[in-house]
Amino acid sequence: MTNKLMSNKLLRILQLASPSLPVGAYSYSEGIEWLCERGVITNMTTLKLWLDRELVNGSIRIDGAVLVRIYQSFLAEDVKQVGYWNAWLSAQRVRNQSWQMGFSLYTLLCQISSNNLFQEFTFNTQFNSQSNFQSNSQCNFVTALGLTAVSWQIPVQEVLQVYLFSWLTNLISAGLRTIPLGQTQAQRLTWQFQDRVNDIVSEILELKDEDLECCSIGLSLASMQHETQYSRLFRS
Amino acid sequence: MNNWQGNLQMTFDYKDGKTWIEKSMSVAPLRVQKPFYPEGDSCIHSILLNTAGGMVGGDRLNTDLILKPQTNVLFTTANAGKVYRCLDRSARYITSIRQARGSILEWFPQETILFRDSQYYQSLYIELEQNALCYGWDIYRFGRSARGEVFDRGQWRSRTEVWQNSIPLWIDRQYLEGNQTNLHSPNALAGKSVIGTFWLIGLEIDSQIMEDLRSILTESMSAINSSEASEEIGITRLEKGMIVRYRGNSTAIARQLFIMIWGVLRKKYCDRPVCIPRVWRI
Repeated sequence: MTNKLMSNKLLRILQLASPSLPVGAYSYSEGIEWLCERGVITNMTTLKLWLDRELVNGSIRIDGAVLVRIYQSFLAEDVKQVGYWNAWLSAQRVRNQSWQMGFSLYTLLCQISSNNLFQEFTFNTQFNSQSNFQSNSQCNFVTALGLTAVSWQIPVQEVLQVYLFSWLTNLISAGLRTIPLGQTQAQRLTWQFQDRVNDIVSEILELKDEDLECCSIGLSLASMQHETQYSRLFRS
Repeated sequence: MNNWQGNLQMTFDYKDGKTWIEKSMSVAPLRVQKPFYPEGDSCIHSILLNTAGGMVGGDRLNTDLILKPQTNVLFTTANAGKVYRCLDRSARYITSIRQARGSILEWFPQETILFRDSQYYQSLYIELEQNALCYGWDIYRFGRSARGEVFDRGQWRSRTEVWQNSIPLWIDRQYLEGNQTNLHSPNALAGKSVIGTFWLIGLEIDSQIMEDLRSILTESMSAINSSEASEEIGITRLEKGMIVRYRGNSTAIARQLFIMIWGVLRKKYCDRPVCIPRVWRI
């Protein structure tokens, strides 16, 4: 039984982290496409620098910290607090990507997790994405992810690793398509980020509410200008 | 060393077509100048003044403002703000504003200059009742760049939050540590010395206005960048509002672009043209 639970946990993590999870992450470049066109990101080195600064100082840290808070709120069955952090995150910036991906993940879970932990969990906490967010703002991706992790019994540190790793590999893949990079370069870059991702995971787990701050001027200018970029592969 | 603990409290009310100051109390170095009515009685221009000239580490300035129903208040400052070198403590400027239904807040302080080695914390917290509207900007210069100073040491924290019925409409928590990486990286200052944010919060912006603003900005940016390259501006919509970000080298250009945006929004949502406060001397 213990063995089965353990191997199920790994499989659940792999399923959640898989780029084939149909939430549409691949269709967003989070400013990378615009930065490439503008000549700010031109090769593996400049892509690495950009992603590294985002991890160290950028808004992805805040998203990660809110994921932790939402996870803990679900764990405490405090749906009101989930709503608070979800609204808090929605007030940060335009969340079209996060809402679309959050909706997709939530809908997917409702469909695939019949008669198991997820259903039982949402029933126990009386969590329903529609009634919780309709009057307020929509379900963010980290909210759906936190719900999934709690109901699938994935520990918080591991879901945070999944979140940052998926974010990273998705943007490296966006760079691969727009710079472009070779497959080996992209894999090398992913490999080189291992320690950084783990350090940031530890930092995020330690953040207090008053530490939720970031330097997002570069990313917000890139995302805003991407909205009106003339010719593009990615969504804004 | 003695530090300033300035305080300013004001309440505005609206009666018989006129916005007026119901209560005003200030503790040095904060002061408010005699109000102006350059565009009629309904909109009051209120000019805030820091008589100390600038801030040092350990200074703390508090401003609490109440806008009663239907008031329209335009705030600006008499001078550019300055934050000098701070040794171990930060200089803190905390503003809290409560807006009742139907009130309009226009928040247009002059730019703040952060000296090398300064540590600045600013917080602007606004609570809106239904049908209240606020818009404003902040413009920061990092280092006295005219004399070649860069912000390679120091800290800047800026928090702006707008809430309505316990729901956050906009939360912006920026943090920049002065170091070589942040001076140059495209994620932060990208070699520039000025950043600014213009915001309007409280109502859903219609698509036509967004289109108008975008085309005005595109036009002026191509004029600006033909002579001085690489000034950047971006605009986006929020659920109940919009924000604009600027990154470049000129506080004058930032203000000029923001005034254009203000003009479009003021005409649309307040039905009046821009009225430049006379202290700006532009």
